[in-house]
Amino acid sequence: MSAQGKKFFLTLAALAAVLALLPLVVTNPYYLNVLNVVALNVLVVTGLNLLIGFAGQISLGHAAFFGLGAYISGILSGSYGWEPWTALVVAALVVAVVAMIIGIPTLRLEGNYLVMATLGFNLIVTVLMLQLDDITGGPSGYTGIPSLSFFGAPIATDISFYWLAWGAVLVGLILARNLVHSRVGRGLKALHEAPLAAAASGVPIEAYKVKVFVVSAVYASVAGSLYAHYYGIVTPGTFDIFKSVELVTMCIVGGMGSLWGGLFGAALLTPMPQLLAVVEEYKDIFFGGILLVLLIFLPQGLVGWLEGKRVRPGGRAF
Amino acid sequence: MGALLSIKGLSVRFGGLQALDSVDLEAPAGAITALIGPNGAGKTTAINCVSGVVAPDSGQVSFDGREVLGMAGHNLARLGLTRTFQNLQVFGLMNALENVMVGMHAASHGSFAAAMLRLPVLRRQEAAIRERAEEMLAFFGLEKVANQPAEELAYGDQKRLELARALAGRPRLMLLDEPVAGLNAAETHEIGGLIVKIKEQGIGVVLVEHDMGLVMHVSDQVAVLSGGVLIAQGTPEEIQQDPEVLRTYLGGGEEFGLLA
Repeated sequence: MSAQGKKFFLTLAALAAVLALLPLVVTNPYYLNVLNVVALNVLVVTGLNLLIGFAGQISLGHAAFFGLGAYISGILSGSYGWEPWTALVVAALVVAVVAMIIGIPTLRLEGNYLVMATLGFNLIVTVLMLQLDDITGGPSGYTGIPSLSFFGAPIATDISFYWLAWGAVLVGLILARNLVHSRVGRGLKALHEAPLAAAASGVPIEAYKVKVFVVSAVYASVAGSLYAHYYGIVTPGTFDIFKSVELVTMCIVGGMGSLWGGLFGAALLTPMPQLLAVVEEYKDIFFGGILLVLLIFLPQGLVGWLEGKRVRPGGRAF
Repeated sequence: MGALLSIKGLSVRFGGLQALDSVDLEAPAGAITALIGPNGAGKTTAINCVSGVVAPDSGQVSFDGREVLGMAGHNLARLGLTRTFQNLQVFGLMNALENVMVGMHAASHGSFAAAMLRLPVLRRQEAAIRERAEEMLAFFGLEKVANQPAEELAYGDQKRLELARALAGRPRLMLLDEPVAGLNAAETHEIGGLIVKIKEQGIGVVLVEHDMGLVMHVSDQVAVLSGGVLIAQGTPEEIQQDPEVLRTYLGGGEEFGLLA
């Protein structure tokens, strides 16, 4: 294993150790709940980082994929009695197809048409969640979603979900890390930096952009499904465009193009509105403001800044 | 048995400008075919047409007997046709080694899923890619800067990095767009030697270059473009004595004197 690989897995092992010990200290269900929400955000942001930080494509619609994963999985298991794990997988497949349908026409174009397309897509998804109330429960949300289970034991408590969600984060980080350090990952960075040269080297740039978009959407979908089965209820407001801005902010706060940065950004920003009552009221302004300040003063993100690194491939995304 | 690369009747018009007018050109394997001409003669446009960057209005481009016009750049790379760029196109924030490893993209395999799961076959391939990239860096004298971000390299090193990246995937034909532009005499001489070594591996080279010293020294055949029209074609000796070339392009031929 390369030195780089060793460093990654050592850091990962340290993270796993902290995660294993944390429940000994954090026994209050409220804080456990916060940690669980952090985990789900980390999962989405990890996928988003592959798209934004490495391939340099920006999506303002990942809350919609998060929401589709939640609603599809929730409705299939709640209304149609599907086994929740099956519902989760089917939701991810449906989201992959939806992402492909959005990605193929928009990612062919030069420039960031994906931003507009995903923004519009998120608005449409929110409207559908609100309007199709026979299926989705409308503005008050969809309730009665069953829990996931593990060998017959329901994952219904905060602590059991904690293990599941953070386990998913570790798996998600390993998969993302493998991708980044492969020929595919190099291709993604290359097509962002010099598309002509990437193509001339054999990188199929259009196909790669679509594929990384699909991968990142699937990360969001899985996180959404986990969310739905954890809370048992989903509401449209959870998945609106402001949530998308929030996710992009987390990605950028930590540092685009750094997987640990995504983890850091999500861990730092998720609890803020919940812990600081003042911020709760002005959450959207809070995230928007952070995004603005960072892009102006610290485009490489906090982790990038701490490491004293220059802007990584992706730091020029905006 | 035709040439490796064969261009027939290639025409491109940019608005009111006829950038290329029915150009025919052949480039064999294992030889250096230079394409020269004054600024704006259409040399880079010709390379861009062949490499899929510019779509010509008419004409045919065949590579190894296969019609390749309109084919995407990454598919051309898979067929063994690579290129470098006049204005540097290195992956600035990736280190030199990674830049060259990207050059192996067409010569390697592995889907997103396989990469995410880090399948054993990919791990073995990764080792081979790295080994080849290191070999390329050594060939171009870049091993000392392997771990530096490409954009921090000296200009001459970036030029050589582009060559290393284009050669890494074991292409059959390389299109080199002004590989020595902006380099001093010593660097130019060194790169000339490397291009000859590339040719000696049986690779076809199309060399677009302004440096007449280099062109006349290394080329097997020279084609001269002027105003989008191919005005002469022949060995370096023939081209140096071609009255039309001397008149329309060099205005007297004193530049040729520099190469001896």
